[in-house]
Amino acid sequence: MSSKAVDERELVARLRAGDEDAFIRLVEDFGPSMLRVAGVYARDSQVAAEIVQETWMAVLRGLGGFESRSSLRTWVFTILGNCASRRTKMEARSTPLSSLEVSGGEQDELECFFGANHPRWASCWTTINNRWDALPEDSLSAREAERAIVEKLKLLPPSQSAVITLRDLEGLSSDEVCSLLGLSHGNQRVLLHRARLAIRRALQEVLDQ
Amino acid sequence: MFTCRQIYDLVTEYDEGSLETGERRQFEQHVVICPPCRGFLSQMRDTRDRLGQYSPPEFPAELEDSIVNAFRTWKKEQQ
Amino acid sequence: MIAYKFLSSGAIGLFSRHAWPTPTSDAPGEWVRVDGEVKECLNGVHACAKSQLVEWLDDELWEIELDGAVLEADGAVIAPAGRLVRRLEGWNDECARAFVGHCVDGTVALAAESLAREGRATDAEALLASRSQPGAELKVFELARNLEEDQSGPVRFAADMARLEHGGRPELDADAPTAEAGGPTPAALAANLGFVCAHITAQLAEQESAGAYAESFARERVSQSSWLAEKLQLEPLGDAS
Repeated sequence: MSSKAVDERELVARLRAGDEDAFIRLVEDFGPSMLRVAGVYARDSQVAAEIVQETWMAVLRGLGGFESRSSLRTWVFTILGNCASRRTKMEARSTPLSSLEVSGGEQDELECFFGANHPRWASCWTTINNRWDALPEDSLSAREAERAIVEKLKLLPPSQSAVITLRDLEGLSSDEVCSLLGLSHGNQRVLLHRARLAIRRALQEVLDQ
Repeated sequence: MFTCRQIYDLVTEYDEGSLETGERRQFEQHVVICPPCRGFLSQMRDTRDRLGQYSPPEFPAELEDSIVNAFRTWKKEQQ
Repeated sequence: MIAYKFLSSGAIGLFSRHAWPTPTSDAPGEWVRVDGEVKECLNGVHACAKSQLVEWLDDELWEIELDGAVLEADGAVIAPAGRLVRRLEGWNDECARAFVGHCVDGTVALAAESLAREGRATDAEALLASRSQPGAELKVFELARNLEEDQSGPVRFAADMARLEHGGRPELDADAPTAEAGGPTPAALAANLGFVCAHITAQLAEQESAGAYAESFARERVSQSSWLAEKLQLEPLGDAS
């Protein structure tokens, strides 16, 4: 067994035994991510907080049945997903049709390509697409970039926002996210694709100066 | 050989590893010979990497307190 | 087995973004190994043979030693392990620009030939002459517009290539932004124009004789690889490569 798995078994045992310090450390470890994910389901921060609270209660109640088939993190986030969708009526088992349609943003980018009938450069980029320079951390540009991203994330359709938050911000795997959100791999990829394109576009406006 | 538009459409599938070998080969062959697509691929990856660097905002103290209180209640109920 | 590997600036893989360990003055770079089955495009150290160089052009050219069972695929060679042996310094910005110039010259020559075949000898001469005049990229571009050339023909393509060679974009007007606004590295441009040049050559061949595209394209690529091998003083491409 990996040392990580051993640590987890120990942690679960301590939690079951009512070890408050172990619980607090876990809350501090997972909590910020959980709040960020809950925020994708519920834009109201109070509701998001309540979702996180309910999740922890469900975690405690479910501790007896946790069998380490998945990692602790996956298990906790699964519970979070269930609480969140119950709370916000955003169905975990189906993706809203509108989010799979072509959004306005994607149509705009078509202007960056020559038409399919161009005599020499059919369907080629019209723009250069420069490599972005690395931004020194804490620089003005880095902060501007972060602001642009945070803003854009709020404006994405909820299912796109959910996928990109879980995959790219939280680092969950493709399998975990499909399971959490009740998506096929194909649907998940489409949502991730559109979300990343939108964020890239937002970054371009900041970084291409 | 793919067009730039196809690279734009397929980039996430490429990075997710869901293209078949033949499509993957065509994708790479196009990107090598197309400067704007090189730039685009690089930008998409930078976007993903950048997102991975953002820590979530701080956890509110009141929320942590109320969760800990709930834990204590739960613990009492266990005994 | 010794093969060749192109990497982006800083010895970084273009697709993998992997930073390759580079050789020191005493020793080759450390071995890079993959686990599991070698699979084209999916798993393994990818390199190319001498005849495939032009298909993978990038900023840095390295000699790489491959270890283990080598898979020969269409356009690449793949092995479970490899290490960089030495940098081929002959492939640099200057060489890349020379390659670009060679490709553009070739395309302009084809365009001129095409004009001559139509009986437009004066136009053909003017096109060739413009190539060596100052501001050639604009001269060729303006000439192409004035010739009312078929939009998909070699003259317009040659004009596009001359623009690209000098950091412009195809289809843009004369006062569009130039290289200062950013753009590809000389190597990336070489990769681009090498391909376009082969494409135009093959397209013309196709017009002469249906079905000729693929062979003409491949032949032009081999010719480009030979040019490069000679410039870099690698052994000439023979049947053995």
